[in-house]
Amino acid sequence: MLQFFLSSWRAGFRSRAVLGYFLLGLALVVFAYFAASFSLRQLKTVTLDVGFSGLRFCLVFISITLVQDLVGREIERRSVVFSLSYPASRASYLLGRFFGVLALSASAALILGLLLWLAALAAGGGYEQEHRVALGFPYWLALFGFWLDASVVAAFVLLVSSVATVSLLPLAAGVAFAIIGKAIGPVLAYVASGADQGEALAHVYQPVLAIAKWVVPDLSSLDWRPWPMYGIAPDTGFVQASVLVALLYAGGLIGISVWVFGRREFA
Amino acid sequence: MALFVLAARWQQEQGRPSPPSDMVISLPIPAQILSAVGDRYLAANLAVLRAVVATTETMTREDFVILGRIQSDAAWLNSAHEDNYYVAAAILPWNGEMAAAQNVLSRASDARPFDWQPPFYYAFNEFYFNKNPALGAEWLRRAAKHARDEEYSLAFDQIAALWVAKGPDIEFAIRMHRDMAKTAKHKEFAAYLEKRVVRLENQRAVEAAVRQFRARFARDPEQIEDLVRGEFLKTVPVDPFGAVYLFDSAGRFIVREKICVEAGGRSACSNLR
Repeated sequence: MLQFFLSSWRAGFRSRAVLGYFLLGLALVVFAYFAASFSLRQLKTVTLDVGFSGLRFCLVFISITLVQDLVGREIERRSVVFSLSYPASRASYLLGRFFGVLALSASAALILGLLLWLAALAAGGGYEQEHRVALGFPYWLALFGFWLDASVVAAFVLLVSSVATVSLLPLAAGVAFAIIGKAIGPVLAYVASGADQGEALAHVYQPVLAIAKWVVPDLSSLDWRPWPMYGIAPDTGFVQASVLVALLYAGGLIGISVWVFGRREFA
Repeated sequence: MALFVLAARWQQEQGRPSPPSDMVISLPIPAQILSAVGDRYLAANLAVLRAVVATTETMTREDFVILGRIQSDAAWLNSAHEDNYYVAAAILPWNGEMAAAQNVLSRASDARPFDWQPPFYYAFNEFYFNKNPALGAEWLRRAAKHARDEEYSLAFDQIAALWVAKGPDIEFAIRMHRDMAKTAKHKEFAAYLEKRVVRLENQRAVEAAVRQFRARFARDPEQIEDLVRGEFLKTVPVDPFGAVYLFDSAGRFIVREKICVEAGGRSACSNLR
């Protein structure tokens, strides 16, 4: 597993697509810094808010692209056969690749997170906003949440890559999963709150959501940005439960991926 | 090339159509979330950006209805958004969108327990626009609890007490003053509130006596002493702040405050207006 992890680590840095998304992330951090100028009273908060949205977007695409490159493309080009000729199990190949993806996305998260942190410090120039942002532990916990969010998406894409025969399917499915997973929490809350007295709207959404909430994890529960932005700490029990659900869901997907990949024929 | 120049000149003579209003569309919340790739905070920022850059000078009544909806949606998506409640307080009530403004401010008050401004603006809107000083006073007391600065907190409680006294429900005003006096941290402020309770009780007694006077004599009393002579009051009530109680030309109870002026190291007080 270690050799596959190390080869994934090296391959990740050579990927042009990943580099492209990383550069996009840098551009979004710069954009977040300038977005503060649209704010009337909370320049640093807006920088963080916009920056976190951009960071999540980039981390998700970096994770999807890495799984696509390191697993999906190898399967598509049949070069996986050479990797599997090593005296190592298929499970160790898949897990080595996945942990390589996690390490690479964590590195991207740390670098982009540090740059966003600096942008938030600098935002607003000399203007001291009334309610300060919290750039210590709350900021890094929020960053961890975004990385965990992207990791769950990566696990999903790994499963799709393990079974897919069409090269674009993991990318398309991963993007859809990332959007639906992030949206399902607020949409459920909106319908539960009465959908702005739109009974017809609630009637349409309810049956689909009733099933979807057991199939797709609520990735918005890993978004703890109100803590660094407003000093509103999330409930500890809620954070613990959200992390546990994410880990169990990702673990389940990885387990299924290993099982499916182990039985797949590579002609 | 010549044909192009002719066509371009003809196009310029036609004139450009005027751009549509900024406020034409307000999407349902789920659509806003999906448009923001599932990110509710991004959806909120996009909505607030529309509100911040809107050119309110040229907006019609229908445009302000849409703006109210956009800002209400932004408040649902991210209740703690400071720019959203700030713009809502500044624009919506003055343009007929009171319900939307109060919705935004109420959500912000719940989401930002460290910020006195949302309940303060809510209170102001109730007092000024809805002419409901009692409800305004309740929200001012909430602003006092949110304020981290004790001076602000005290000031809000003082204003709340004044507003309640202006309201039509004198029993409510007396109860609220007593409740505030019990929970006030500063002894001087508690003593001030107790004095206001005495004034309100005097007002209640005088107004009850006036009703009895009217019932018997079918006219309004001209001065407080008339009520004492008619045995509707035992004595002329003494105001704890030294003010004088009178009736205006319409027979309503009014308070003429004592005014003190300092000059040359001496002060002189009078109840003259």
